[in-house]
Amino acid sequence: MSLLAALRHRIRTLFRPGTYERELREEIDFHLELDTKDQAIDRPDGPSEATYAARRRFGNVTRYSEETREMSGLGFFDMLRQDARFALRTFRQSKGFTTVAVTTIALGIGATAAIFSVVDALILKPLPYPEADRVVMVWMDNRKLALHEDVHSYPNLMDLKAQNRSLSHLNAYREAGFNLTGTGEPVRVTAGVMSAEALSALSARPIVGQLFTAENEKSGNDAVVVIGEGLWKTNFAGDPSVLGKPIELNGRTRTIIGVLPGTFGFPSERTQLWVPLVVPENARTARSWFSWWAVGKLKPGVSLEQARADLGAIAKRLADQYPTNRDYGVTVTPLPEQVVGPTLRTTLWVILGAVAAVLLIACANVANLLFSRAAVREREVTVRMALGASNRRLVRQLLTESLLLSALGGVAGIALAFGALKVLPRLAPSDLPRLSAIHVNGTVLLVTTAVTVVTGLLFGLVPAVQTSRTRLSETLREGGRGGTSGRGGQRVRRGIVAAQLALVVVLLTGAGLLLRTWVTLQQVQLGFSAKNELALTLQLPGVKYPQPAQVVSFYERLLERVRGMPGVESAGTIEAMLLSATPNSTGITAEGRTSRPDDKEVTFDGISPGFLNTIGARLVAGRNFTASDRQGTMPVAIVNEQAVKTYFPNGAIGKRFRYGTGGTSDTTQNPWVTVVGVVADMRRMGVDKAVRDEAFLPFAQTASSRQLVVIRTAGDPLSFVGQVRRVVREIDPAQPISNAETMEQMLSGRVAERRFSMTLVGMFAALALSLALIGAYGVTSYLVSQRTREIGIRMALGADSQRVARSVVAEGLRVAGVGVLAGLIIAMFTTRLASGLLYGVSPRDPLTLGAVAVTLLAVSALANYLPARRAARVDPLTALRQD
Amino acid sequence: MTPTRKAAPAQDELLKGTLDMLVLRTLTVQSMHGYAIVRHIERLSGGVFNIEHGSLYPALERLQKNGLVVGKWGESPTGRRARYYTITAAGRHMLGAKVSAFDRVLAAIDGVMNGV
Repeated sequence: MSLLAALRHRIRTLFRPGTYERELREEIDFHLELDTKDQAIDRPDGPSEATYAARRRFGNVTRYSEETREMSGLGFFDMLRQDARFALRTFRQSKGFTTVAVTTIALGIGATAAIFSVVDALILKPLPYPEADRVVMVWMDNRKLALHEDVHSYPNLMDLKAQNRSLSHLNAYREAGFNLTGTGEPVRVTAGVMSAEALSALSARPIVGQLFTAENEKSGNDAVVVIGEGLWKTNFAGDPSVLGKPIELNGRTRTIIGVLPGTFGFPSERTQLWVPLVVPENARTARSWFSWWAVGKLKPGVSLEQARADLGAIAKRLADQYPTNRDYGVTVTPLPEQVVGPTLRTTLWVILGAVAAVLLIACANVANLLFSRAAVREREVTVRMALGASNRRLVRQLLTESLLLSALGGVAGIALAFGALKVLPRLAPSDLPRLSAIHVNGTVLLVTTAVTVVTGLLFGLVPAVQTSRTRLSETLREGGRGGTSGRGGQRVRRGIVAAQLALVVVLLTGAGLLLRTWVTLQQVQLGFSAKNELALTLQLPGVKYPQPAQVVSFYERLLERVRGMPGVESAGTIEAMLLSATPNSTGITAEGRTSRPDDKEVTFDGISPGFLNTIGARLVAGRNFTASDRQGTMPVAIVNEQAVKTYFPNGAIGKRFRYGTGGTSDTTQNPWVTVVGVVADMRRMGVDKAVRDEAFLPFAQTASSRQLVVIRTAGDPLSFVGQVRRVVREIDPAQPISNAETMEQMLSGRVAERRFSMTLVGMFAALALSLALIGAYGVTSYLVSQRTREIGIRMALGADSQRVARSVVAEGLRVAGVGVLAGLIIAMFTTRLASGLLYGVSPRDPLTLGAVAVTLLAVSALANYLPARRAARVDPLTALRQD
Repeated sequence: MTPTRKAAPAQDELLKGTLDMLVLRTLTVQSMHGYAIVRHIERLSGGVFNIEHGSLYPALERLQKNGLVVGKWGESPTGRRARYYTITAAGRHMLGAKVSAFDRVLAAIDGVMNGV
């Protein structure tokens, strides 16, 4: 009960100190009044005597009031408030300093918070699957193609599954696209075709209904589908009675049996529904048909290394058993590493390093600023000390100032971070994994707060301690200098500027290298044109178009109609323009050439006759495909120059080859294919990757139901999408088109990650440069103002203003020179860490290093020039008169 | 004016403790305002305890902070606003403890002075 009373009293005192003061005064006044009255009884000689007597009996009113107040515990807060108010007043007086300091801190902290949020979301935050770090992706390590993440053949995978002792789950899955019809406009959806075991490896839990079981993997039992939360909300309004409803995928009806949550993003975040995996009979025994992805889970207590060794041994056994498995190993990657691959991870750590550098520079700047200010206020401080302020009190006041400064900067920085995170996703490539998970969260706030506090203490403490150690007599003497403006202080300040410049050199070098990589890549010849081309994908459902002739007929009709559209210059089809990491490829045997064991596989794509013209690919020899190359006529192919180098060194036209390297002489099943044309190399794997051995077949002979239609237009390609859609609908009303974009957009998607990292590092380098320059300017400016007297003397003794200015600039350049040199040395060692991101330029590229050094020296000279000019304009008389 | 040095700590504690005890005892008689408390103590001690009136207020603040008394503004007999202090249950409890402690001290002194 009295605990409550005590608490109430304390709270009331704390929150209404003004009232407390007033009431205490009132109470004491009342006391004195009563006492005066009492005293007056014995003192008839005058009321003033009574007042004095009462006063005397009371004692020192001020002292007791203060003692009471101190007892109430308000004293501490009083001091704090006093310090804060004083600090704010000084901020208002020196607005320039405050703005620069707060902005510097805000930029440093804001950038840290924003980037840390990104790194946190992409790398640090665990995936939304239980025990995600025990889920592993199992790949085939294709040593022949130097492809570490290749897909499996079904028998190989099943052998791995049966013989391993380290995985509790291992099974296959694929990604597929389906045409979804039966609910509204036909639309193309991305689907996961998964075995039930693969789903349970991920501990998938449906939010409604259930998932499929191994029973559904039997042909005939698989007419079921699990939809994702996104699809559930848009097409079925989130209605739980969706279970049992039918939908049509590629013309085949399936029943919805469950809904998976939106956070379940496997195989990719774009996956919208899942169907059971039914392995066709011929795939079960085809050890050389590779098209299965695999996911599994480590057994409890088994380490990644053990699993790798275990599966590696099985792969070796299989290689010994089956000659087709030679050179195939196993790669096991934990899921978190797979989602955010090593390149992106390196990029992010590089960026984090850049941010740390910027923060350091920002802190150094503010430290320097405070140093300078402390020196300027030395007089004031020493006077206060002479008047009796204790060391501790002074330090506390200065610390309060710097903490307040960093608090202001921190708040501004957090606001900046929120703003930046709104803008960042727009700059980032849209397929950056887990982009949706990026937002400012509690961890970030905590780290930012910690950084703020440490920053405050860091740059508040040193000047504070330095100032308080000032020797009184020295400073109070006329024209004397104290601790922070003496020789030692100058050296410290110069040292800080040099260190900042060194950091900037490292950052600028990094940015420069990335820029050069970018430029080099931009200049790499693609081998084809990407201008004014519209690209869209169509997938004809096998159910509706079972015969190859039907597929061919559809696309031929489509191309004919499209070519007739006004504004269309040419059109063609190809199965896939840009090669993925696992393209459609196989080994070949060229006539008259013995296969070598290190022969790489050749990629194959079906193209329509007009395709090479449409994309501006150059035919080097022979002819293009025509309409007469079709099913039933002689099998023909066009190869690229790279394939000619490997397989047909003595000319390719007219030469023949066969599929496979096995060497069967059965010509009915495996006929000879004749090369009729050679096309110039095209960089289809990406601008920074080598060209593969490529071959093209007439699409009429391959009749693949999935095609990329490329249309060259006169004018903006995207404006033709509507018309194309109409043309498609005329031929087949239920056929959707997907991924309509320009060829340039498609290409830029590939380099988006690179551009993103380059932009970010570039921004940081620019930021760091400006901060460092502000710092350099500030320091020189201050030093000049301190030496005004000396300069005045010099000029009075006859030195001309030009010489004075030159000496200031020379000094500044000396400092810059030291900093740049140190920076270059550090850069030469650290840029090696980012070499994975570079292309066509070495980490120690002399051109970049040289350019950075020259730029920095030039800009430092400029930063020093302005204060130097001010020094030159010093009027000797005024300077000498100054204190 | 130079800041007054406080009395030697031990003596200070004794004084503080005694004053607290006297104030608490006074308030068991009835709730009163600061002036009344100090006059009561002066009167009943026969003028021996002649403390500076002002020293009451830090003491009262301390007692309030520890929840031993509660202060409330009310009206004096002359119609003026005054703060009246009331002892709480915890205050009474503390008073008992302080009295026992004080008695022990007295007994100890007595023992030394009058013992063999």
